Amino acid sequence: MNANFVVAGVALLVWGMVFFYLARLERRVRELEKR
Amino acid sequence: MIARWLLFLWIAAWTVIALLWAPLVPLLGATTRVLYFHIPSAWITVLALAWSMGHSLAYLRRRRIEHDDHAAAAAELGLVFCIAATITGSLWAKAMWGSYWNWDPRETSIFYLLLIYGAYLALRGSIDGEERRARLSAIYSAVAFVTVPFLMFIVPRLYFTLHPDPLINTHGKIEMDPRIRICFYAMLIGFTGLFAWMQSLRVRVTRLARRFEAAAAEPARRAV
Repeated sequence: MNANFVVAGVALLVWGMVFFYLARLERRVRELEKR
Repeated sequence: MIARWLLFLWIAAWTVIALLWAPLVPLLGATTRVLYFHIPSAWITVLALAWSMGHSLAYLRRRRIEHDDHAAAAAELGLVFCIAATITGSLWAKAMWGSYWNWDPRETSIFYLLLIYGAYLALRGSIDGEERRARLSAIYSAVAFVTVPFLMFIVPRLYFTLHPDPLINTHGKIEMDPRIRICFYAMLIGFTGLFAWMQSLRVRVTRLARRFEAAAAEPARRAV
């Protein structure tokens, strides 16, 4: 497989994990701010 | 939340475009791919530390704790992005120079920067009392930032380094393939958006922690 696809896949996976962690944190912060 | 999803799509799309569409730099070969993550990380490091310094000065002038929240959050994030720049740079060095760490002037500079801002966080952690911590940290942050342009921009240009020319090279020009340049600027914008989001989240978490600490201390205060 072309190495560029491998690098793109890994980069997207890492970015996806970072994004969903931050999105979950944001949701939790918003819940706590409403209390 | 729409803005967050746009940011997600922006970085994801430009990552794919940069890796699959932009050409490789002949001298760098396959290691060109690191450029799209390494330089934006270094850019955010400088931006975050400048943000921290600006809020530190604002705190010293106005004595409002919100400025200290911003200064501390930005310094933490500056350190996180500095570590990301160090790791990506190290991976690049292994591929190009055969070793992860060579004490090149660039690497030495970034190492000192990590130490200086690591000490900032250690200082914050060692001081009791919100006002005192904020005041001393603000002074440290304002002074520490003086080293940033020196370590990031001046030292690597003063001494011989194996590191490729920075974005604006020694002739004061930006010399890049137009496709690389487009992807590169797009990633800079994406990383800046990511920093803004993380900064806002970190500040909100700090405020929440303060609110809950105050709420927890209230019954004890009433009992006295």
